[in-house]
Amino acid sequence: MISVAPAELRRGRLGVALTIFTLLFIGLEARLFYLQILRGEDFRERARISVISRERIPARRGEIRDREGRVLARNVATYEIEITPHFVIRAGRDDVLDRLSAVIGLSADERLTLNEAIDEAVANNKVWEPIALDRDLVADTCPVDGTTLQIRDEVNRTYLCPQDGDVFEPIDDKATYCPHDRARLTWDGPPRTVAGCPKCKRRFLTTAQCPDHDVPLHVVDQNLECPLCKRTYSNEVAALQSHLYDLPGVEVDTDFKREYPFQYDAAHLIGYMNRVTAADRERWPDIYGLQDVVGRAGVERALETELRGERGESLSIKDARGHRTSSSDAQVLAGESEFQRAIPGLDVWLTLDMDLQKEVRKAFRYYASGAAVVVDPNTGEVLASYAKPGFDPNELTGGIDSARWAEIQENPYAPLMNKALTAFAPGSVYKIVTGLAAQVESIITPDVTIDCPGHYDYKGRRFHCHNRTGHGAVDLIGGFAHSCDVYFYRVGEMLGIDRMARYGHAFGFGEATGIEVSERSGLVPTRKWHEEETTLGWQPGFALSTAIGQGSLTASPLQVARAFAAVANGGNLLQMHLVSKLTDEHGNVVHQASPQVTGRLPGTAAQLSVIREALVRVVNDPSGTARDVALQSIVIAGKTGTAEAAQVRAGVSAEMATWLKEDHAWFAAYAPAEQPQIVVVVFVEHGGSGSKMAGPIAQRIISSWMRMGRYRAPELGADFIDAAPGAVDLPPDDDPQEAP
Amino acid sequence: MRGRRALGDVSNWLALGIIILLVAISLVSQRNADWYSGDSFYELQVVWYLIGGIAFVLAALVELRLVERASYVILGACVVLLLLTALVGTEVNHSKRWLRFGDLNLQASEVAKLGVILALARFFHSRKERIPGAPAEKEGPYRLRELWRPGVMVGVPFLLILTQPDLGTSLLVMLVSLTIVFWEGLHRRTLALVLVIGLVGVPVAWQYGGLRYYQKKRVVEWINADWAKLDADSGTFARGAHLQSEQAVWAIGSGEFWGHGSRAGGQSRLKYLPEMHTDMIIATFAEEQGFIGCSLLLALFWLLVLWGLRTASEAKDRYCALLSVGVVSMIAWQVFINIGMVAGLLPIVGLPLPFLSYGGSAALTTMTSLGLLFNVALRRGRL
Repeated sequence: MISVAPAELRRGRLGVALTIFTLLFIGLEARLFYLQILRGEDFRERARISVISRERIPARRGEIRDREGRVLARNVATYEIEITPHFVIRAGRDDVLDRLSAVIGLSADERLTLNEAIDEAVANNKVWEPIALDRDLVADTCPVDGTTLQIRDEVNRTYLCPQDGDVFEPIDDKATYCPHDRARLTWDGPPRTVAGCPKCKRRFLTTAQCPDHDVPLHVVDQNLECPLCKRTYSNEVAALQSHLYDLPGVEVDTDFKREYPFQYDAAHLIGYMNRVTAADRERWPDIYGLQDVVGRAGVERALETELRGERGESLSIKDARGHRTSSSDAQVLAGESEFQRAIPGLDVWLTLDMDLQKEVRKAFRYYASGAAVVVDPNTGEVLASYAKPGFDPNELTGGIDSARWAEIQENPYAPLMNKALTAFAPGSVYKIVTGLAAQVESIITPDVTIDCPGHYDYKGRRFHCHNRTGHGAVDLIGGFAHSCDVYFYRVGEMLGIDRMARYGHAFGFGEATGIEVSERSGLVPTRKWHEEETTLGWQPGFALSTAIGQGSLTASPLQVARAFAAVANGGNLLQMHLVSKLTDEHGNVVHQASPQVTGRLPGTAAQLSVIREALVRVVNDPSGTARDVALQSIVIAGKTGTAEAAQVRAGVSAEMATWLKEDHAWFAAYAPAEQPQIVVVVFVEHGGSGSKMAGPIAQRIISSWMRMGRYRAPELGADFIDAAPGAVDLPPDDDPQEAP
Repeated sequence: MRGRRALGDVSNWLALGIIILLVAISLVSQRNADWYSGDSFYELQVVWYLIGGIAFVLAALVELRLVERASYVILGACVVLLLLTALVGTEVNHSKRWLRFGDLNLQASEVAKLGVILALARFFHSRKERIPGAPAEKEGPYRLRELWRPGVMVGVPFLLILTQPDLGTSLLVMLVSLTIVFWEGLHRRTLALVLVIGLVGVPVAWQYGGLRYYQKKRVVEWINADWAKLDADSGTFARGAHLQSEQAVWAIGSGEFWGHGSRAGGQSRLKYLPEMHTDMIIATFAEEQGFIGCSLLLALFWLLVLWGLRTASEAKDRYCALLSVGVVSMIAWQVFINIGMVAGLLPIVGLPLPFLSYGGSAALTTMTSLGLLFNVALRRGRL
């Protein structure tokens, strides 16, 4: 034997080598100990989280309907294709794009654009950011006319789970082989309902019930036809969903878009939607995502919590290719099944009558700016409420560009303002308050006359009547019929401003009307208020201005309508309401509104009937201020108002300046004079004379109402109001101060 | 007499048992990986290990003298194969590593590992023991200038493999060669010089060497790796925030002590683990078998290394000793680098795990190498 090296040297080398290799192995073992024992739980959780994707399931927002069930705000399902470049590149970009093109029929240009977008994402290292495909997918409505598509024949039918988008195919329960690749199917359980193909991984069902979420499945067909225009469509969403297995990186996002079919008729009341703000997210925490939309005005805003529903969440496991695995896998891997159904929002039924609302809009055709309110004096229901100019809620909801938004904002006629719920100087319509107060406080009796020379001198100041030549001797009814200001100056002087304010509040002025949407309550001035707020301090003449509805007094058309409704129904001050009921997804009534009496007008029935008589005379007396408003078919009672509201605004056009110089025109009426059924209040901003401008609008509204057959002949013994005290109250509008 | 002692040595049969056990683990792992991915590598792996078994037996029985004589020829053949690969090789994932013979793909770099070991063993053997009994050509440790011939023997295949590109295998060839050289003994100054060259060489190679973009990216990823990252707000990960190497680490970690059990690995099942059959198979294995399984596997490899080193130290001559050292270090380095990179200790370089990873050439090379080692062990001390 030849000794290569001394034994100890050899042993030394062996020792070194052994030590080095053993250390390496100890290093590995230590690393494994760290990963699997010390951090094992962390990493197990981390691995689990990394494959779980939580998806929000949007809740269907409740619809808004009028009293007849006509839809005022609805949801249109929208579908968006999103492509994550990372997965597309990994799976072979051309293959995926080819298949996508084949399924949804991309044009060469679209395909090129998409390809460029992917190139750009790669160049900017943004391969994980999904690219939204700019393409409207046909779902279940015709893109041309919005009609619901109908199935032409039933081949290629698939089932789509509305909750997580899983696709199933229908199959006969006697089937043994997969119809696509002839592989033997595996059936779940003895009642044959669910089958899976081990080869192509498709899942089959014998019933249209989701086996994972226990919800009814959407039936989707690829041969759809529009019954109206006879165009045929393949249901691209369905086709895409069923091909997602072959389309790594492609996702279909489902969402709802809000649509308002009556865009100009009641935009202010219905409101619109737009992106949530930080304030919204603070107010309703954990409800909205950054991209969500929220009701912004009107009913959409006021009943946001009822309408929005509750979004659901699905937990799914995605494999490395970005595709969901079957839910049995998800259960095993996630160790939980966190699936939460989305709860649809409640449908809101309004008291509005859209036919009448349209007539009101038509009646306003020749006027630039104003508002009209029609209410039922016996229930407080708002039958119509229109403000002009309006806006298109669809435009605002769809995401508006800043130039157009600025244009709307700067429009001098304030299209976004709901003038029916905004306070203006009411003028002579307010005289019902003064007239009743004077009687109740025994300042006058109806037959006491006051001489009107055309002006009234008070404390060194001359207050003019609107008729400068004077009305001569007028009593209470004459004061109303001719709208004699001098009569009311005298009465107002005797009443004093504070006593009048008490009566104003009794008529609901300066108070919230109780309508569900946000409103401005206006102001009934008192001496104290004047002392605190007026620059010149208290002037005794303020009482005279207030008596005829001028001065600092403001009231919204709805408040005027409420006061007239109280007069019309015999003295019950009613809560105004717009929402008649809330129904859930199955049509069950969740909440039903009922008439609410919030107060009684002061005084006796006789004193009120004098006012009622006076209002009839305003319209029906040959010399009444509103004699042109009278109709043959029905007896109208009403009061004109011409509120001085001349404004001078700097930097406006000549046309604008002329408009601003005019008075506000008012006309408040109810009909028929006995057992009234509607109250109509018309306000024309800077319209001029109440009798000439506002009156004809009210007349037209009432005659339309008659023509539409809404008038019900009185029944014997019918009472004005049958509201029981203590009836259920509507949930209060939780945001009364918010401006629309 | 001595031969009988070697045959009677329990450790040799223990080593044989370990080898058989490792082959069995390999087949089970391949079978499970097939189940996850839907591929069918298992059957091929069975065939390869059947052939590998025959190669093992042949290598264990062959007269080592003949192997020694053929060493340079074998290296030459390997270099020719590598050249052929570079010329007419099949390109997969932007690297030319395979030579195609009909349905068979030969990975020349795998075979070249053994070729280099044999050639180095022969060189160092011949330097010191040309004629039995006569004074050797060379005594004592080597200086650098005496190493130019083995330098060429290693350098040519190293560069050919590096340019395929296959950083992992070429580094392995270098490591194994250095291990043999260190075993043989280096002059103190030469040792210092080699270390300096190594220290200077790494940054130079980083800057000017033929490192591909993705190779550098992997190193950067490894340096920046933050296995514990978790979004503080949502407790979840941003989509795409995890790399495949991170998925592998999580897969290993999620095995915990007992593992999920065979075919129950979540990450494997969802195909988050790339190269599940080859380089990353330890992640699947760790996820399924847990710390206990991994420790057992490491113990098996360690025992194999122990046995190999003992065989080397008791080999009948220098050629056998160096051959053994080469084979042992090849296995040990490969295990360390592969598991180290998957577990996040090292940057990702492509290198299969001996036995477990799928690969025909690798299986053949491993089995032949171990056959030679077994041969040495059987004949140790006999001359």
